[in-house]
Amino acid sequence: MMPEWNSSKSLKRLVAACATALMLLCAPERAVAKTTVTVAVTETIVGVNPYADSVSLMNAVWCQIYGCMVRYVDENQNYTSDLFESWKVEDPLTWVFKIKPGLKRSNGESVVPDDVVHSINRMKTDPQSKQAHRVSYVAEVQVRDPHTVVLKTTEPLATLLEYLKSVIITSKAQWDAHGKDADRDFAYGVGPYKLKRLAIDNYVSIEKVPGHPLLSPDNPDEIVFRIMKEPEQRVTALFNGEVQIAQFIPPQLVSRVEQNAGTKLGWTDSIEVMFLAMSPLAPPFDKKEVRQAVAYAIDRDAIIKSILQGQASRLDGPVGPGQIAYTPDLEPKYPYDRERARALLKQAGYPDGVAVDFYATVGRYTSDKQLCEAIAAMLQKAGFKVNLKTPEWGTLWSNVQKGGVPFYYMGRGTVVDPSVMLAQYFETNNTPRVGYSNPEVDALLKQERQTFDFSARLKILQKAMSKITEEAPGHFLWRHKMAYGLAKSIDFQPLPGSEVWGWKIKLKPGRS
Amino acid sequence: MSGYITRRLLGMIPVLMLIALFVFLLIHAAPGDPAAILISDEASKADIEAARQRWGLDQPLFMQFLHFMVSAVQLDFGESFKYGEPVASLIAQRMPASLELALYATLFGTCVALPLGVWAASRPNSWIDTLASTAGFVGISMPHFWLAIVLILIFSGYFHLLPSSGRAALRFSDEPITGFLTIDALIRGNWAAAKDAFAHILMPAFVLSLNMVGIVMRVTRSSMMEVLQEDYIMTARAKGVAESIVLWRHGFRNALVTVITVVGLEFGTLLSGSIILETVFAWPGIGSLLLQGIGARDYPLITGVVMVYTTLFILVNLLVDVLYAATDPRIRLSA
Repeated sequence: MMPEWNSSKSLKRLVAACATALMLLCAPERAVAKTTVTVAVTETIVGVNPYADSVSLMNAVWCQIYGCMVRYVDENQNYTSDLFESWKVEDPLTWVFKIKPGLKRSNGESVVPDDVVHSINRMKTDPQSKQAHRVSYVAEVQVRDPHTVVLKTTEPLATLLEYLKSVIITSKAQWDAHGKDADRDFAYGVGPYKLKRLAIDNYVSIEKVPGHPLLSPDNPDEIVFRIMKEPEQRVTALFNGEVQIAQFIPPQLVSRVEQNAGTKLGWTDSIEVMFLAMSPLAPPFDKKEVRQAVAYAIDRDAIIKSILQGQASRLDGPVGPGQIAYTPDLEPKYPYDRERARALLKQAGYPDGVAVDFYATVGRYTSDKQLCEAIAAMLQKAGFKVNLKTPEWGTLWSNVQKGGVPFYYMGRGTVVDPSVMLAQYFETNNTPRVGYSNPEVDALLKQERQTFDFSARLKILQKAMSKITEEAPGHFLWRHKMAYGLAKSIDFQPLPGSEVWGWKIKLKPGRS
Repeated sequence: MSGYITRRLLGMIPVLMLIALFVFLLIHAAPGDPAAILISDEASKADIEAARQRWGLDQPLFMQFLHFMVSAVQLDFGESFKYGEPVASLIAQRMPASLELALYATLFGTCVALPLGVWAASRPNSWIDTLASTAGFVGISMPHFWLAIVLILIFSGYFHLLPSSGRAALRFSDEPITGFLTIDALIRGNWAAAKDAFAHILMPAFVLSLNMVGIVMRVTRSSMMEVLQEDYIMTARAKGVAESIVLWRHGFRNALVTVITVVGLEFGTLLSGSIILETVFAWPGIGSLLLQGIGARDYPLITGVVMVYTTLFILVNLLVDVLYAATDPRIRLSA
């Protein structure tokens, strides 16, 4: 018989030790005096080079450190500037910007026109820059006097400010003195916050510049942007008090945030346009009737109601309310009409239906896989034989960029002024993403870019949008309503462009 | 011994070269263009082409591989397409996080699995043995990402006992000493920071250790049962030696050789197997870095991380063999 080993005493001691350790670990921390707001975000943080990121969140972070040439000041898309007191169009190829007198960076250094020259050149030539396209229309930057910068454009461009709103102005003097180290150790700007710490693809922390005119005492002393890609992760961190703002709560988690005692929701209409792209270069989408049949076959209202739980607004054209050139009178509209879709297919020479490959994104946009499955089912009922493909994002996007995808679901973000988006997707030879070509549309898009009279430009844009909608190389679906999870201790109204400005975060009295 | 170690280290070189070639060919065969993925949505064809030239992607494949290997032998894995930083620097920044997680998972795994295995072996076919075996199977079979999410929901979401993600609260971020936040905090005597770091690592290390607990427990049990049949065990008992000494000094010491091998191999597996868990827990290790690199088709980053994993795995195996010889004097690591 095997002798007994009495291990019950040892076991009891072990269990007691583990329980004690667990209790010590779980004891709550005392709150610190400085006010910190942590924001759970999904975007990437590439590094300290402000020109190496191409996402709107990080652009906003650098903007509130260094200052941007221009940015939107309110929901009506009026522009303001951290650096310039005024600007004017001297002639169709010349823009003149006046620097605010006495403007200084957080280290006391004056902002000079050479900083603008340096920054735009760096955007074009820095090997890490992913923002060169934003200044592609800028042919030359000149210093006219110690307070005036002149931008010469390659062609008349009424929408120049739309490009310049992302241009970060860094210090030439710091760059000349320190090179690349300037971005990490000498990141002085005119913004209300300064860089405290950054860990690549992990977090970035910014802290208040004392006495900045944009800030008030109820704005947080420090803001930390932490990457949390999974929505459950963001919601759990919000409930646990680890973050106070959680971006992009998906529809299925909205009610949890709403019902939680310590949290609330903030809503905004996204300015990301969700659409279906159909390449006229690839049969059967070379026939307009087939493209229009797709548009009529999809019941967008039903999808918004059921899958998106009402958290989206239907688009009847490339833009919606709040976006430039929106009009509710844009024609044609595509109400859900399955029979009409069938009739159009028959008219196009497909009385028995037609097979199509439909490329869906997965995990890129809100509920994208479920939405595309619903779209595919609706198309099936209208006579399409849909082969639903779900490639990984990198593969799909590469192929879209090369022009190899005939029919796909896509979002185009940060659309306040649709000029850039429309040119990218629907102007001949701009990009091969759709492969659409129409000389009338090309002429209209070129004309609107060069029309400096805003009202006249709007009319031309609306004409172009109407033509594009009628021809349907893209069928515009919806804009999501973006839900942010917020701790009840703060006030913050999310913005359509997903920027998080520190001066818009208000801490309620009594919160430490 | 030193000759053996030198030969093993030299033997690493052709292995690393083969792995590098294999990974290089595999990632280039995968669909997707890094320039198209990484340059902004608003970029033109010309911008994309300029990026491809800048990154050398317009060169023939063998030229790209040659350039990579020439740099790699100088421990220069190139610059990440996505982050614009030297890959070696990125790996160095993130490696301590992965190592710390793997070490704590190994520590936890062995502290649970070894006594459990010995206990089960000392009472074969008892309820203890059945319980331990069941626990082992559950540890091996449980999908870790699912368990991680459930634990986060329970301990962070509902009971607010532990942090849900990350490595430490930012208020405790200081310049690293060892790079292991738990140890750095203890060295500094910052008990709040140490507690915070331990609280952050507890759940991910526990989940990561489960597979190891199952495997090591099973191996320990079977190894111990074999050893406990030996004559010297019977002799020790006949001499009246205390059972705990029989089990641990005589039995376990002789069963340790097999266990060391398995623990060593499992440590290597933990390092590379933490990729998904690092994403679930937002743990800033090289696993999540690799995942980002794969999504972005960041060729230098992918190749660099895989080479580092391979090197670590080889070194761990070498260490296991050396410990093997140190544990069992009968074993000689000969020419």
